Amino acid sequence: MKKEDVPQDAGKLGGLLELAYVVSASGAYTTVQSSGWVAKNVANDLVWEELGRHQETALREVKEGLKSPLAYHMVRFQMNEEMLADYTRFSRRKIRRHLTPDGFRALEPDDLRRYADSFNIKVDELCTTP
Amino acid sequence: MHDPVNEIVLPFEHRQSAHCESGVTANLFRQAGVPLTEPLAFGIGSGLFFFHKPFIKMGGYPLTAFRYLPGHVFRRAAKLLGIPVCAKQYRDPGLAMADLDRFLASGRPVGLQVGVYWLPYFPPALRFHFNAHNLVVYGKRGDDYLISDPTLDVPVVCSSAALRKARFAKGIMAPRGCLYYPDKIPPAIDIPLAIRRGILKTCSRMVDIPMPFLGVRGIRYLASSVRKWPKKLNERDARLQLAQVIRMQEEIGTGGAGFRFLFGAFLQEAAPLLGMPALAGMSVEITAIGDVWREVALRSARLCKQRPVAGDDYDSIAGLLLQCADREEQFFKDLKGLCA
Repeated sequence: MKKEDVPQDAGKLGGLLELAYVVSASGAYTTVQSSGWVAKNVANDLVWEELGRHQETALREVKEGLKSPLAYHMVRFQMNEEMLADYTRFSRRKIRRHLTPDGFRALEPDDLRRYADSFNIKVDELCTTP
Repeated sequence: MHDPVNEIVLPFEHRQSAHCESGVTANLFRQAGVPLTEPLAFGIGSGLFFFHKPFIKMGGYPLTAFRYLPGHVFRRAAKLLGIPVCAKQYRDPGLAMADLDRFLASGRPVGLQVGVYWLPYFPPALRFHFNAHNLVVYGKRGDDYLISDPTLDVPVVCSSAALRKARFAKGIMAPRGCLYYPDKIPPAIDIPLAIRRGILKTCSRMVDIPMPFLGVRGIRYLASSVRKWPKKLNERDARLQLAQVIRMQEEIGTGGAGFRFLFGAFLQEAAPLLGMPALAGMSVEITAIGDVWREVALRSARLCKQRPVAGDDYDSIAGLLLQCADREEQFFKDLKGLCA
């Protein structure tokens, strides 16, 4: 990539400038800061849109009483059962139970705290959805 | 609040880099007195690689990577330069944080492997569960750590609670509090020899591993996967797969075109150090290949956005990937011949 071709397409990186290795007119490598590239922004936007969709689906399932609020927060924090098991040290079987409204209602305060701590949120927030 | 008793600021030169790990490696070594730049650290540490493994999922997508395993650049560069390193992992987060404080108190900046997701200074758009990020801690002020994150242009601070969470992020490639630093710098370091060995390792990984997922074979494998996506997946999922490849190739930390430009910079820098002008010519070729990779990303992006221009389809992207694979195969064979 030539120095004059370095894209400056600011995306959602919030003003973060990254370093690009580019070739100057003399053929020597140098570095230039770049605020982003449209190709990458498109990819990122699509991935975030997909994550948003997952969240909406999870939220709807919680509202319809099919799943517990934990299911929504799991998706919101981009986790799956396996990762949540890693964070909380609950078995996946237990987690699957806690993802149902009945299983979640039966949780002890200590267990709720384990989930809340894993997400870095308060227990109150864990028990509600927007 | 300013409390001098609770403040440690070690001298540390923050230099922004494209790739977190080669940046941390170069910055730590330079601080210890070894004159390394980011491209040299990357090249000696054999950071460049390619693999595409559809059955290892990261965030639900097949893993496509343009680099070798996390932690490898630092360890490998140290090994080839003959520098003993100390690297530790911890079971107990409390102990891990206490140890960090101890190192800072003894005047030693250290590198950490962390999960990006829990780092508060990253923009929200970059918060993914990616656990192989690297940074240097060079001080502490009250409850905040002073951090040189080489992907940023300036040093930042991070609360101890957040850093603790980031050091003990869970999931694939969990850092488990990993902390590392170069131990004792030997009196004589043979940088040219290390460069040569770094190049040879990179070459043999790219062309000599007889596995379909690795090196140039991996690029061909990705090409054949790309061809199948529109038939195998629904339209949206196919686009998401492409988006994932673009992100791995261009997302912050590769220096552009999946590290190919960083490697080009390395070869150019190595040429005079080894007295081998031919390496500068090789640098031109890998740069040209990097430009083809960028074309892959651009075309993929147009498909992702459903704004294709004439000739944009999955087959044409696969064709470009095969072109990359063929050229890289020739490139690494030639490079190996030059340095053997």
